[in-house]
Amino acid sequence: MKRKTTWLQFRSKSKRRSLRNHPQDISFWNVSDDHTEVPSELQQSLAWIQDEWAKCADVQYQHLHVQGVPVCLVFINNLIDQDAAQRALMEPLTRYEQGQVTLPALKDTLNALMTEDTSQISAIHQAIAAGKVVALVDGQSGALLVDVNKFPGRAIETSQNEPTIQGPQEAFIESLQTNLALIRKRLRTSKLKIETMQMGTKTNVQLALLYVEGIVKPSLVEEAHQRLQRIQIDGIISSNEIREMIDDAPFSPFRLTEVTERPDRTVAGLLQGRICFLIDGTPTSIAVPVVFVSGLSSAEDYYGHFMTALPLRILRHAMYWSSLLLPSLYIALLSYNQDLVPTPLLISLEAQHEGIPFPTIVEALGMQTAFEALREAGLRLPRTIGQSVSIVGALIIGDAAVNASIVSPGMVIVVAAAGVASYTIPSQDLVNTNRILQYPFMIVASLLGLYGIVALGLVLVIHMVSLRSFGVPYMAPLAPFSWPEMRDTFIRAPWWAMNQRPRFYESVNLTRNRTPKPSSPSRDST
Amino acid sequence: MKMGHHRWIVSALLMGILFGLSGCKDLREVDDLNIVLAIGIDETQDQRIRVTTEIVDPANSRGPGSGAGMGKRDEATITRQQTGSTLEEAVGILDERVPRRLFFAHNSVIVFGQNYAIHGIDRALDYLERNRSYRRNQLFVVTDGTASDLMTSSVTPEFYHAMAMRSLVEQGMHKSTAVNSTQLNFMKQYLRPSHTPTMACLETAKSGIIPDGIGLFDRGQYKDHLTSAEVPAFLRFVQDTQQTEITIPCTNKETSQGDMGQTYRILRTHTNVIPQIRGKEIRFFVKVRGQAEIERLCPGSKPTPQTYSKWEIQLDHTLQEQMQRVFTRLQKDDVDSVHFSDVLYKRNPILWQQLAHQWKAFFPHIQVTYDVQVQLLRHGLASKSPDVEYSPEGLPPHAGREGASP
Repeated sequence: MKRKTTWLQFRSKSKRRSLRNHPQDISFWNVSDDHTEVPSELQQSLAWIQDEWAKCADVQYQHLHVQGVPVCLVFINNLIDQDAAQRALMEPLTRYEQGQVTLPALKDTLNALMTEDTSQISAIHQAIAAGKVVALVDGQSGALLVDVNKFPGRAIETSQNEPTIQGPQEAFIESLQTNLALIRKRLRTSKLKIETMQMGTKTNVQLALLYVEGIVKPSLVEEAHQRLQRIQIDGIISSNEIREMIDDAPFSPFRLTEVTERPDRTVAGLLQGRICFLIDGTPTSIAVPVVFVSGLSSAEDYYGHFMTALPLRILRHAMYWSSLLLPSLYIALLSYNQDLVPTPLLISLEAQHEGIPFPTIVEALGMQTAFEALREAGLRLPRTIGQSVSIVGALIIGDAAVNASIVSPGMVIVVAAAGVASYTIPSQDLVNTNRILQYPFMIVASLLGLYGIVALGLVLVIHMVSLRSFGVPYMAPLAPFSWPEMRDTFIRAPWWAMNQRPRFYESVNLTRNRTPKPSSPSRDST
Repeated sequence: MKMGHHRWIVSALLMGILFGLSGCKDLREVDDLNIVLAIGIDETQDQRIRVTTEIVDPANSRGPGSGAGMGKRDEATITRQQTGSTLEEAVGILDERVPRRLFFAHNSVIVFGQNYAIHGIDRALDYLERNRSYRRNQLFVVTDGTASDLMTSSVTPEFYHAMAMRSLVEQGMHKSTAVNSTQLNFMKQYLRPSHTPTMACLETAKSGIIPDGIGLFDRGQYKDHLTSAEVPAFLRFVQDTQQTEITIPCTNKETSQGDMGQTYRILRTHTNVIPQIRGKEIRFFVKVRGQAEIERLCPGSKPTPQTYSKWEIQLDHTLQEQMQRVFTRLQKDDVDSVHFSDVLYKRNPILWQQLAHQWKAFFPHIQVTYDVQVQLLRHGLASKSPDVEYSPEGLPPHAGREGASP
């Protein structure tokens, strides 16, 4: 009997526990569990298929006679390549003159296409959903599955969310096969292993697990398998479902998996000894394990001169903490610790705050929320309108608010500076984490001043050092500290100096590079 | 009880302590403050203490309404006065009578009026040291008038009296015409064996506030003051000096402008004071070494190795005379502001312990030997006075140096 879940049930603690321990079975969604054999009568087979795919207007049933034998082709019209189906499937079938019409004979005839035969009705349903053409022959038990699928999708484009000036520009798209090709063309080795599995009992999305054998720690792959096997869900729409279900600390504001839309970055991760997940229909890859400092390193660091990476990385680290702490520090300095502000600045701040009817915390919360609203509006609206809204919000509303003595110019500067600082962070996950964490810091600063910021900062640091991503400490190589890894933390050492993979990923083969340090040729040799 | 409950209780307790310890108690919004920039302390005729404070007026300071640099200079601050029997009482009453709380953490100057200083500033020192609101980098300044006059004088182009006073003293320190008399430095000197601190001195003139040398203190009492011209000679006893100027009258009788002076810029000097103890007799040997360059030559002067030597000797003599004059004055005032007692204490603490109580009687009779040597540097392209090349016949100038300059 189907259980009906109502909100009233969640009032009872025992009911909640009962639901947690005995979750509802979701397998009734699953079209792939029917292991019944395909009968030899075409009409019966079709009846089963039509029963399963009832009220599916896009499923086509093409009836034809091949040498007088009734044959039916079943497919979803929008998922197949019409030209290929016409050229390589329909034409050979209409011209079929090879004697008896059997599935093996048809398979020989359609040798230009990928074909496979099956005897299970469940495989037929999966094949139809996957965009294959199912050929059923009257009097033949089983079916022929012909691969002529062509899913609609866009072409490969440049990376929009992680742009670089130098280096490759390609980004992943929604097609898993294309994304795998983008990785395979960069990693031309048999050691790149790709394991695929179906995810989502309803969506049947293909998920690929990638790693480089001989580099990755085997237990990491095993751990990934275990975590993926635990997933029981009806549908996977985006990579975020997988991320949340394999996360180490689900209630932490920090994400312990990393997403990127850049194939080059994915390949770099694989070569570091990490594993990646690619999901069909998602233009990003998930990489694990992840460390905090990797969120502050950009692909550009590796494509430019190593000396330019040093100031840029230090700038990003400074900007990360600035974006997190700047509003709260401003509140603490203006509400509690005015003695720490240089005298001319304090006089200026006092003059700015003169006539503002709100305490600094209200001003800050208001401005910060307005900034977040503008940011959200800019994202949700179409791009052209979004830019206008941002400009209108920032310039006109900000200026008007200052002139109306609702907020002080200093507060506008601080909130804007924190916002700009957050834009320097390459990882969108860290940006969003900061957006969440800014508020508790502001509130604690308004209650306790610098003491509160330090106290909450300590709690944050303790939390950060306690996190692990697939067994790797999140704050590595800072905590636990590893001096050799400093070559790719705050600085980016030249490639000839980075001869080992990061130790914290525990690769089985640490050596990455044996190139000697370049030197100018001696005079004798010239 | 389960572990989970323990964790919740501990977390709640911690949060309670965190918020309960200091939550909002010290909250004071920036616009609820009266930022005090300078405090003047005077003693009135009836022996009461008058405190004058310079408080920022946020409406007229350089705020957003007036735009950057558009504040009203004359109205950037307000001056409030209060009288009390003690300094702390006057400050306390003032705090009660002025809207908004007085905020002393940004006080940068404390001005002592002459009358108060003569009767001893040590009355204020404990209060200023003990009170956590004051910073120890606030500048102590003494004036021969009243502090309230000084704090109402013009300070153009500065906005605030405190900033102007600090700026004047810091400029003087760079040219060795003033001393660094921040509270910290002053207290260090005050607690030395010599017990004779010095303080920057400012005066009121028609044009506004002007620097006027340094004030000499014996214990906490203001004794005398040295003018800005005398300060370099004084400072050569106690510290390294830099960028001082000295003009010596010309001795060239061939020129009609023989009354003009030859100016030297003394780039730097370094002094060693060495006590020489021979039985009961204690003498002090003051060794000064330095470097100088010629700022202006006397008309018709030709720099040669001989003249350079002569000028160096002349300069050494002049510097020595200046130092002797200052030291004689200090002996006359019986104020060991040159800290000879500190030198003796460091060199021979046991002897100092024997002499400590008699030092006041001892100091006026101390003999000092000087050894001043300043090297003249040959900087610059102009080695000789330009009128050397002048001849009534209009002869061309000599090519090259021809031995005119070493």
